[in-house]
Amino acid sequence: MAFAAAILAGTAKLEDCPYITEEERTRIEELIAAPVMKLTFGTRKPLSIGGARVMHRHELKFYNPTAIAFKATDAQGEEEVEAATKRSLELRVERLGENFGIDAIAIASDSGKAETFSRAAGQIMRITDLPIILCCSRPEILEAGLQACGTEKPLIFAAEKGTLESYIELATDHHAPLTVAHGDLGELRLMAKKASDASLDVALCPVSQSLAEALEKCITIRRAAIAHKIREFGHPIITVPPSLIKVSKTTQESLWHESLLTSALLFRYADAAILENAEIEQMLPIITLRHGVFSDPRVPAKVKPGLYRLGKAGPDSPVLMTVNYALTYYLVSGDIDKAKVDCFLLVAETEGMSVLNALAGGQLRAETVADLVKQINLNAAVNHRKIIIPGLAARLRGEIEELTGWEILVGPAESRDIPLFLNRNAS
Amino acid sequence: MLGEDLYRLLAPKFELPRIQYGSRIHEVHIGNTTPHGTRAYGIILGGVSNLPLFDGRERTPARPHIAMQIHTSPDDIPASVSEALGDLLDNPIKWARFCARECGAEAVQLKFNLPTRTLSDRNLDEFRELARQLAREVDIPLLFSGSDLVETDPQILEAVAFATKGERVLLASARLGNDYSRIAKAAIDNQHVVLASTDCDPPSQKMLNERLLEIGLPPDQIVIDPTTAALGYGLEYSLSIAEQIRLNALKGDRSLQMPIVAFPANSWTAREATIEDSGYGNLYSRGLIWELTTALTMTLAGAELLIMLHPDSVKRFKTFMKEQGFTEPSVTKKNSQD
Repeated sequence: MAFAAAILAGTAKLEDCPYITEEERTRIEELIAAPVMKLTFGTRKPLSIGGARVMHRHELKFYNPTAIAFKATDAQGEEEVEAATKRSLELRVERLGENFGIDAIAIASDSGKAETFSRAAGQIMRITDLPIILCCSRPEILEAGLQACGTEKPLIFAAEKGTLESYIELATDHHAPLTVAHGDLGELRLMAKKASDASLDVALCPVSQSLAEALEKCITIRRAAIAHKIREFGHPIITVPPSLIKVSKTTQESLWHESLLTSALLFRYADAAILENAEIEQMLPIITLRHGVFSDPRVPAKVKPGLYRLGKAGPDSPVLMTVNYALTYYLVSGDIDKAKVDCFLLVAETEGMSVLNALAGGQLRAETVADLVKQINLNAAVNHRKIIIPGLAARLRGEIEELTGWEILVGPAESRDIPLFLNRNAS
Repeated sequence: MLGEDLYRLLAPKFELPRIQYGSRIHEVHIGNTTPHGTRAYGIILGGVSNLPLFDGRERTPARPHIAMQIHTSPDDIPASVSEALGDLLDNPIKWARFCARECGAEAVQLKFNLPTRTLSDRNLDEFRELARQLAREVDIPLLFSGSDLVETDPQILEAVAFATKGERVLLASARLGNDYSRIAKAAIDNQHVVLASTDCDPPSQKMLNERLLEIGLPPDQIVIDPTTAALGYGLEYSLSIAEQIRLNALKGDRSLQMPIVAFPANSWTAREATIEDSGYGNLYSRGLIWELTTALTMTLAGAELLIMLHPDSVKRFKTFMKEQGFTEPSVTKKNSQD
């Protein structure tokens, strides 16, 4: 029973059961399969999207973070393709010690010429190992692009009603997954069925005129797959946020529009988004939101324990202590920022528990703090021998003093009072 | 492959059966026009029976109402916002007029700051007078909040509640940790609405709402704030909690059937929204996107009233939502019933 529950929660694997027969395994696998199929494209650096199991994050968790693709165009010559692609690849966003960038490169056949498209696709293949999305609307151009990609298994974007048959043929020949696109969900369902009947991996693009419409369609598609088990809708959703932008915008305007549209769509079931810009101020919010929305709500968010230097803290700067629950850490470091006093922040390992919970659960004890002080060699970092502990942990004061020989000051119980505390004690 | 005819059978207009939860969210009005109030209109929250956009085409999606935040002392305002506000920071009344006329905010929220964390009788008199003056000078719905201090908030809110009797203002916030019954009673005596705030914890929200109802505060005088964390600082928790609360309410939990208020203004506490860093790109743009992303995602999670801070993000949000197919939120007009 416990094993069955763990299988459902995704924390155990069916292979770990030694007693199961092959037949039983196939049956159970069908039963527990995610209602949204997983699709993998690219071979040198394969990327998987889809695999959703729930409508709401709190019901389990969201799987496979929305892939962010940058779209280059073949219309402005080879140099421009190279420059734009390279620039997008330089983008780096750091979250809690992890690094993120663009997940895929899309190339659009805006030139309308097969040869140009094929050259651009080949060029991108040489620049990066990232998986490729081929954006074009004519079979003869698509064919040229697919040939340039060789065995790379690019994602095709997208078959429309009139090109479906020829796109299915090309996708089959090149073992490439196929996106089907239509504004009408009935038609989209039909197209998806034809493509998956041809044994292709399928993605869906619900064509829309506005964000409200796009969200409604994404929600309907996902509800159809998860709540109503309609298999033709059980495929990843590909979106093109810039296509929703109204009237012509300046570059700065399209940046924030793209950013907002993408954030909304990634929260509501888009498995990939194809963007036209890759600027940091637009991408930082998207990747920050994605990191949060796709985090496991059952696991407390943690930061690495240790000594954090805030601002330009030096040997005379105060040392404050807190725990490694991510929200606590953010709150405290944010409030220290507000105080405009450079500080060291000593972060104790409490398995992602907040101060109160860690005190109650025994993850935060005087020894935890004493060991950390020794381990990171706090003696060497500052000239003084004073640590400010959270007001809620006041009862550990005496014991920490005994164990470390440091003077322990009791800080405020509420993080928001830190600026007041620091500024009062500084003057 | 199946024949074309069989595919055709699948093709007719695709629709899913509507989700029938059986319950709806209480309709709550903020701002009285007549007979006791002097507002030009009141804002209507609630009345919904689903998560936004989960209804298919049955209900046209509306953008949430926007209340702009005004502070009595601008110490907490980050530089990028204060640059946009300039002299207005020193004059809450002018600031409020600017929000109503220039930015198109549906309401204003006046926050009484106590930089020293203590409340003198003089402070209290000043706050009371400022609330009265605000009600005289602007005619849009009003929200008042304390300084997030357990000891002084109920006292301030009570004074303001009596000073604006009949205007159906929003008093923020009743919390499990403060003297919430004092705030609730002041709201009952003066026909105001109470914001029930909790810290990212649905069971606490349920408990606080139940206690407010027990005191006798009618459900159509309660709106809830289960915390809006800033993007990058736990926004995903706020989104999940808002959805969870909304779904439980729709499935029949009567103590949670109140409209949700979100605070995109809190995004300005995020480092990413406020620090000058060459690696983070254009600061002005980044700050606005931070507030806008919080506003938009909280809207999708069910928030119907947004408290925002930067004038440009309010203007941008309104235009963006209109362009993207959302309708204007509903209001009560003068001379209609309240």
